[in-house]
Amino acid sequence: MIHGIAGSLASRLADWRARPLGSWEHTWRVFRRRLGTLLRWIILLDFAYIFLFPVIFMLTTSIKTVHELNNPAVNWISRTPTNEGYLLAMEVLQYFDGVRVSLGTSIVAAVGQTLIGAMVAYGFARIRFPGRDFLFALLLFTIVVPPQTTMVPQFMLYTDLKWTNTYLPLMVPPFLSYGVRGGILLIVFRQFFRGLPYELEDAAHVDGAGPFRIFWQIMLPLAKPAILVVMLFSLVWTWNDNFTPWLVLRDNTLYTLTQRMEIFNSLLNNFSGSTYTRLEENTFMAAVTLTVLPVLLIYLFAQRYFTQSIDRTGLVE
Amino acid sequence: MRLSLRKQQIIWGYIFVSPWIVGTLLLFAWPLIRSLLLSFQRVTGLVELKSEWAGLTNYSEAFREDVRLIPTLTETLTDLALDLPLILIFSLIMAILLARVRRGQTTLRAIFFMPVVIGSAGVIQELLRAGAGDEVMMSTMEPILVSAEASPLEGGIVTPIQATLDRLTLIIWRTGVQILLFVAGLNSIPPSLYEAAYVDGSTDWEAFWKITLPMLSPVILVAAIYTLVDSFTDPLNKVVDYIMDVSIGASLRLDYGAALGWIYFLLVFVLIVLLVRLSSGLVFYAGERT
Repeated sequence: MIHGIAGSLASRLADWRARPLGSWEHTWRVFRRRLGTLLRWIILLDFAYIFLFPVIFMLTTSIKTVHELNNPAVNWISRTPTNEGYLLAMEVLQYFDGVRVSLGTSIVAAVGQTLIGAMVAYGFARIRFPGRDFLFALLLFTIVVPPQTTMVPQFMLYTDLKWTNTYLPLMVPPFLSYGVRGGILLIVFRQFFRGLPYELEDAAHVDGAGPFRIFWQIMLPLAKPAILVVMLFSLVWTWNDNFTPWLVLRDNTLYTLTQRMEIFNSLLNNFSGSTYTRLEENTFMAAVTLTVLPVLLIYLFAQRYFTQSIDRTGLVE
Repeated sequence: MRLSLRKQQIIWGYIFVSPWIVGTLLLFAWPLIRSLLLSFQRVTGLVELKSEWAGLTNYSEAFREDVRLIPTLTETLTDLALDLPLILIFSLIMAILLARVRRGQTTLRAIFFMPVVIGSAGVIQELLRAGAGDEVMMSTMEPILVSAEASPLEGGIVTPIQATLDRLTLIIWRTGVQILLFVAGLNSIPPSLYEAAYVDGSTDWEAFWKITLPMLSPVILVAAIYTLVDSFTDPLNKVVDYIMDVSIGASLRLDYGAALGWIYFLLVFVLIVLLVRLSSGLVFYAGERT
């Protein structure tokens, strides 16, 4: 009997010793993996907060009352939200006029930049012609020249062309893929086109399609991910541009929304006549929010496609 | 007359890139030459833009007499030397963390790109002026700092820490594009490489140094160049500010502004060439690239 128990214990011990190796290790590994995931999420969410901070700060400050702004107990959420900041900011910015100007120039610039840029990049990526490599090297060179170096002669050029006080300097350079940003977007397109199989063009060529038709009817529809990425970047960059508008727009009724936001303080003083008006932070944050709102909405709408497209453009290969 | 196929192709090639050629000649090459000429001249009449040849006087003024130029340049360069590695390392770490996330990756990536959307410069600048920069890190790190403040170390340590944190916030907001590049780069590394390494008993740590980093090195170079170019055109950059001030500010010295622009450009150019040269031995290109 005792022998029996000892025997069964011994055999159990033997069983335990001979257990499939790694079962403890397995538990440990699962635990470690879960812990890793948890830590990763904690870090990511913490940084997500920092990245979202500007937006949160803008939104929450803009609806606080003046009283709450000075009350340190009201950290984030206003208990008595107010829209007076927005009402004042909309009038001072002449908001709908500003949106019309900014959205108009940005959309025209983005569409032109995307279509014409795709064409140029297709030429660089898929058509062999003498001097192509030299021209592409020149393109890379244009990226590293700071716009400030050519700023003064560019201004003279716009003056000679009588383009000052028009929106042409905001739209024509993107059409021609000019500058640092134009160059970067051309590279995005070129990389994308280089990754497509040559058989597509060969088949279309055999069927008698000319190069432009091949580009327009076959390659461009395939380039949707790259188109989305380029268009969004172009739109955002034109919208936020605070360099060219200051160079060419002298008449402040023509100012873009971003410009109006930057001189909000003096606009406010003009608006309220001769009396000095103190700029309250809630009004100003309302103005900032209103300035980025359209482009932010477009981004939020497009972001799902945007991040997927980034992966598919082969941007970094 | 019918052109040969090859000739047709050449003509089409030029037609396709012609918008870019026109843009580069009109908006880049011609202004660049004109600004070079202008930098050797002295503008005598602003209205009708009369100018006379002045040789190197603008350049000698910049280096000998200008009390603002050299300090601004050194300040910008030191800032850059500090920021560049921080931006690259931070965005690489974020990208690696992000790449392992399965559900919610799209949303997180969208959030990390948010500062780029709401204003490459303008809005962020205004937010900083409103004190947003001081608050963000402080609220994250408050418990640590409060305990430091209560300790005898108060004053001596808290202020520099706070300054560093403010700076870090700005740096973090500037990493949207780089994170995007790195995530795309990580996703393009074939998983078979890692599988092979793990079968051979490699740890995650080894795999990072032997696979991830070499495979990612071209992307790191691209991100570094992007960061450089981006910071050189950033309106928060003091040199840019100074050049704008000289050439279209109150003094309206177009000739001197052009000379400053060229000095700046040569400096940027030398830095980028240096970066590419120095990294040429470190960058690994898998497979054949043309």
